[in-house]
Amino acid sequence: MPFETQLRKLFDAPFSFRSRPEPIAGDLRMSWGISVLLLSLLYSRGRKASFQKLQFLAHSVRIPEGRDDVRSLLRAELRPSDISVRVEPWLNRAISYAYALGLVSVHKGKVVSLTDKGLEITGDIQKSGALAEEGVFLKEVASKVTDALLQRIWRMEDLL
Amino acid sequence: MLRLRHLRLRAETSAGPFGADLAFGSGLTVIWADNTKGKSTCMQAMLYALGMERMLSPRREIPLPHAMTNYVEDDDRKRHTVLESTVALEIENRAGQTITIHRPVKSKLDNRLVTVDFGPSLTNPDAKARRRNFFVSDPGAASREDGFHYFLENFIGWDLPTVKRYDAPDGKLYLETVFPLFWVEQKIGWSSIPAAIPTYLRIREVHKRAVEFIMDLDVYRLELRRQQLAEQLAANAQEWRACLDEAERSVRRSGGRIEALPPKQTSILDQLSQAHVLIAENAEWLPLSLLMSRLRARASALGSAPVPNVGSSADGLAEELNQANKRADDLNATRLFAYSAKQIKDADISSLARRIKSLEEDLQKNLDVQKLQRFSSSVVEMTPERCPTCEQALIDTLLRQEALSAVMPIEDNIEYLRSELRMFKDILAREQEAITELNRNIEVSDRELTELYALIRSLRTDLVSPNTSPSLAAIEERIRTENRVRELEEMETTFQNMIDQLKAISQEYAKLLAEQAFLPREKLSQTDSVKLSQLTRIVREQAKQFGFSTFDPNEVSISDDSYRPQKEGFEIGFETSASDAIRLKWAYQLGLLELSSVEKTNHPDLLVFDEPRQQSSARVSFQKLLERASSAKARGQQVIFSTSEDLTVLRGIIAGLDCEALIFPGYLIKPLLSPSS
Repeated sequence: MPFETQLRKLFDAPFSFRSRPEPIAGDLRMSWGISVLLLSLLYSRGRKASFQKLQFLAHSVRIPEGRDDVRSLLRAELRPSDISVRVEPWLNRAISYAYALGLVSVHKGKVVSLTDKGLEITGDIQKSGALAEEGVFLKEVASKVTDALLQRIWRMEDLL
Repeated sequence: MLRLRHLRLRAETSAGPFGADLAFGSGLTVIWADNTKGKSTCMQAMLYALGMERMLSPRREIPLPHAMTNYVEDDDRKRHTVLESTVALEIENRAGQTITIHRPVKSKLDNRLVTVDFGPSLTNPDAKARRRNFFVSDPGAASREDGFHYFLENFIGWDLPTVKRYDAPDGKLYLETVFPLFWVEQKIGWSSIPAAIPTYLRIREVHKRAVEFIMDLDVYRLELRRQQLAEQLAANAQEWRACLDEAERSVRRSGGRIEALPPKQTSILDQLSQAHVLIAENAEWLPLSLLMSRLRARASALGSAPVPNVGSSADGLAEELNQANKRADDLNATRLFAYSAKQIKDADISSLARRIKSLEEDLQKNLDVQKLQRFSSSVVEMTPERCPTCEQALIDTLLRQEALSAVMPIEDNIEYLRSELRMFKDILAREQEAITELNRNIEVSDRELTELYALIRSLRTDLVSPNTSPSLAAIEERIRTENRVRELEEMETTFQNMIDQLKAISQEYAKLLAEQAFLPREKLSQTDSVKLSQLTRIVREQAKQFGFSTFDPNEVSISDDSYRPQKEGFEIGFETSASDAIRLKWAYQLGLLELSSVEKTNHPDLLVFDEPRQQSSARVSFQKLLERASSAKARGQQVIFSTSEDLTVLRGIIAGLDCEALIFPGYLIKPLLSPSS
């Protein structure tokens, strides 16, 4: 006997199944990704950053191990080639949404910068007390991660 | 009890001595003088003599007007500079003891110095009383033996409770916070009901604590006792756990375990007598007593027989060695098995720990998302429901929109993660339990193996020894058995000691539980409720009598939470007129006084009203008040009322009352005629 028929026999009242909405990881929520993007820009020089840098920050901010790696790199305890980096697909979507909401602007498809509206929101994010760890990390490293350093990480130049 | 008998003010001026003397009656005393003639100076001077200036303000300044500090005016409006001045107040307590307090106002002496004569120096100058100095309005004045408030507290017969403070460890309730309940001072005294109690002393819920003290309510004591009991119970549980852990460790060292002992403290002693020790012996757990009697029998058998020669037991030795080797092999196999099981468990535990860590991280992110959604919506929604560009519906994810059909709302997601965390933590606890058990088994087999190897060694030695030498194996067995018996005896003593300790903890626990059960369930004790309803009754009666008219006085009651007057559960605030507020204030404070004659309270049986400065809007006829207050004498209580009401009206009112009237036609502080003139 199929399972559902068995169940229906057990209960005398009619019932139905409903699919449960799916749980997703907190860092895949829109507000999380967009907030991380805005904070990354806030703490970068000139409140702007390249796609490449945003990808790197987004990847490393996500888990404690990633954050520790970058800190070690900046203290020269790790070499650029020791750092793994990957493209976070969610970041591009976060940028798209943030752009559509008018929080960031994109120049020549290369550099993303914070708009006034975006700047205002970063104030709210900090006030809310959310993303405490992440905020501290970004404040510490965002201005120190230069494009030259990123080149070496992405291209693994040290291995050549 | 506190009774004011006599007040004396003295000021040495450029025009000779000035001063005032007020003798108070035993019941109601009415003081009359026109405005600005020094009536309030006298009232404030009494507070000052009692060191109560901090009841009025946190500043340590002298709360007295110019007449005592700067200049006096005579009846011809001529001013004379004050050179030196003092106040003296004669008071009496319940035991009939009378003391006179002297405090300098303008003087070369430090005004924190208070001198007390242990006798009625003002009303009977001939009495040569003992003198003692105290200090006041400095830290320690309420707690040190030389502090005046410490002395005054004892003199009144009070024992002020220890209360919680905002900034410091627990401290005493100060006299300054209690006095306003029976001493209504002119400037701030009328501003609230029941009383303007200073809050700058940083005592938690000071208004409630003061009323509870004056009414001698049990509620705060009960609350403190409840807290103490909870703390003592927690300490008791901890003691139990510590004792148990200690015993378990020492029993485990000798290869045993404790059975049938409740993990939490119990008040049932029978449960303790069921506890016993099991010892691992040849792969089974034997009760300690059984094993001990076996081993003792064996030891005495071995001890009484002569030590055999190697030759006489050669065949048996070979067989025994064989057995021992086999048993060692078996044990080694069990041990290996236990070790590999343990490795698997260790791996499980570390993967569970990793999983819990990542779940906790994800939970934190989800909580962050919740905060972001709640907070940032003020400026712009970071979780748009529709695409800002094309207006298509969006679901809250940074994955491709087609990847999921529905995403859990963040609240559900958090709950989901929490239940997952709970589950994994439960599994982790179970696995840790299992690994403890495995470790115990390993310890037991290690121990047994060590013994077996020793046996094998001595058997081998015996087998290669000359036939006539005594059997080493037999000697060693005898020594080993005797050692084991001693070790187990020690363990038994430890265990018995622990049981005795646990019994003591149990008895303590039973006592605490009994006391907890004895405390009333309600916040208030029964006598507390009676007192509050009595107070309500008296307040209503008086409010009616005094002409309270904002609403029906029968609707007034005293809150059993804030002890403020309330109407249908709401505190009475601005809805009353100013004159009704004054009526209610009279009713409340007289109520506290009257309550003290029917119930046991800490009220000093004294009430002082210094009429508020002219407020034409709140002129209330106090005929009824004085009528009611004059009944104080019959109850052995004292009421002092100062006013500047129209004198003919006042004379009309007090004519028919049993009261003392102090009428001052001009300034209260007058030039004193020196005895010679």
